[in-house]
Amino acid sequence: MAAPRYWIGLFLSLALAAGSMVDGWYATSPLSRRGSGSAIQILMGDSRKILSGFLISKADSYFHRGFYPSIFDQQAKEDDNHLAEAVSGHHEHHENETPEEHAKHSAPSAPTTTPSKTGSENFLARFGKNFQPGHAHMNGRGGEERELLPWLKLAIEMDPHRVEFYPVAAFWLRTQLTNVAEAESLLRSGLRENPNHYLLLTELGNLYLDDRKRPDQARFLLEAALKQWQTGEESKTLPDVGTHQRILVSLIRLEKEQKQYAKALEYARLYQKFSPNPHATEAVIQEIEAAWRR
Amino acid sequence: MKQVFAIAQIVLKESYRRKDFYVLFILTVLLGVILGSLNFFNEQGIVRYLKEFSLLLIWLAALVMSLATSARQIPTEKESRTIFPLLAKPISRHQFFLGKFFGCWFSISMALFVFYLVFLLLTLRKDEPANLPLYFQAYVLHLGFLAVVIGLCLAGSVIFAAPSSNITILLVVILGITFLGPHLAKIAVKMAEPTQSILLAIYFVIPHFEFFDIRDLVVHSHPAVPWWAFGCALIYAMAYSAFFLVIGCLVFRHQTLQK
Repeated sequence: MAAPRYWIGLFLSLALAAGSMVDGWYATSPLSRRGSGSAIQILMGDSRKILSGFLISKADSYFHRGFYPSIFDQQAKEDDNHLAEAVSGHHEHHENETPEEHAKHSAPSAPTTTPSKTGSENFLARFGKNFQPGHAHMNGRGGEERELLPWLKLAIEMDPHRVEFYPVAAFWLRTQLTNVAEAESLLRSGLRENPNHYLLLTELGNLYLDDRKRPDQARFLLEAALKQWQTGEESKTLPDVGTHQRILVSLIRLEKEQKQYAKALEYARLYQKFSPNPHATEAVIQEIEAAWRR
Repeated sequence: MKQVFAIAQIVLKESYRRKDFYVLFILTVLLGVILGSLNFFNEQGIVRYLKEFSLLLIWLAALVMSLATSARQIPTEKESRTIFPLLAKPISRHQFFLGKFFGCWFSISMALFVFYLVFLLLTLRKDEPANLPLYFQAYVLHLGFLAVVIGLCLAGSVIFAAPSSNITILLVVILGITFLGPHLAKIAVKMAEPTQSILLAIYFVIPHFEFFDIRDLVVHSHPAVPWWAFGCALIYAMAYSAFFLVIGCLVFRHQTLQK
């Protein structure tokens, strides 16, 4: 049996070795890098993106007052996802909708029961519908939209680079809940995570135009958004035309209000270039010209 | 019936002494309070996420409690050999079995009542007008679901060798039925024969737990379930729990108690 001092020596050597190993591991681990991400980011890794998708579908389900098709129904009912449409901002059916138009499109409607698409539902499935919410939208009364916010906030926290979530949350905050300060704060935090993104600049520009009533800041932001769109999107095979049109519509409105008709005409002509309905745009151009002449 | 309720009373008294309920209750309330104190964009009166999480916790707690309580009733009596003096009294095996069922169900009903009461108070505190008939339906339908689960678990306890295997198997079965059960018919129509017929047969045979889960209606403040549908769901629950009890009684009647 070795003397106790040898055991103590061995123990100290092992402790020293273990300590240097842990120190080396810690120096290279993400935990040691300050500001590299929250504990959730480190622990969950890329699974946050999947969870973020789930959370946004939860918000969509809340928008439909608990009605949400299961994965087995989704193929047949893809066109029911209104919040996802608002998120994408350039969906097929409402390609040119602004969030304001989307709210109009989806706001107060009487709750209806979803009819069976196949018509072949068995009696158990039909009976089961008595225990599930029918297809309905939030009615917009009493700030019901605030119920979406926890899911939107969590979705953003899970994946701060999914830039399309910010305008959705900011839209509900500033329009239905008149919480402009929080909407602005959210968009600014989005810009910190995704610097100079045209979608966030557009929403912030609209906030300054409609809610803050500060045209100079709005112009600066919307022009920056247009520039960013032209840099990043114009060359793409499938550019985000919907947002481009929203930027231009806001700029035309702003310049008209400020009586800067030359600029308004310039934006209207640019809008016409991408418009699916150039004749309607021609009428807008004539309207601006008439206002200019007056 | 007197003998049945005497056994049920013993189960009920035993359940007071167990810590499961207290631990789960404190945990649920604690999580509810933490969730209720979260701040989302400085907006006041956000309540539905809280209702959703609270109801989920209540469902999980009730499922765990009912499985843990009912799975060990008969195996424990056998192991400690207390079943022999009980059956030596003028109590038949099926009365003993029914007594265990009612005892478990009563104790879970009382625990669940406390959970729902706290849930109601939490909801009222958040200024959401509570739809009391709907809350009542949610509670009673939940009890219907638990009656089926307890019946199934008691039947399992006389079939499977140990409570642990019974709980594990039933947990998988119950979760499977909950998540896949309502969709089996949709899956079946895309399958070729004979898989289609097998899946459809399973679909029509299994208990449909979606008839007892009206959490979405509560969370999103929908109107109450039509009373005829509510009544039918309760009859459905009674039929399935009776079916599992009959199976359990039949197996238990012919079972050798001494090893």
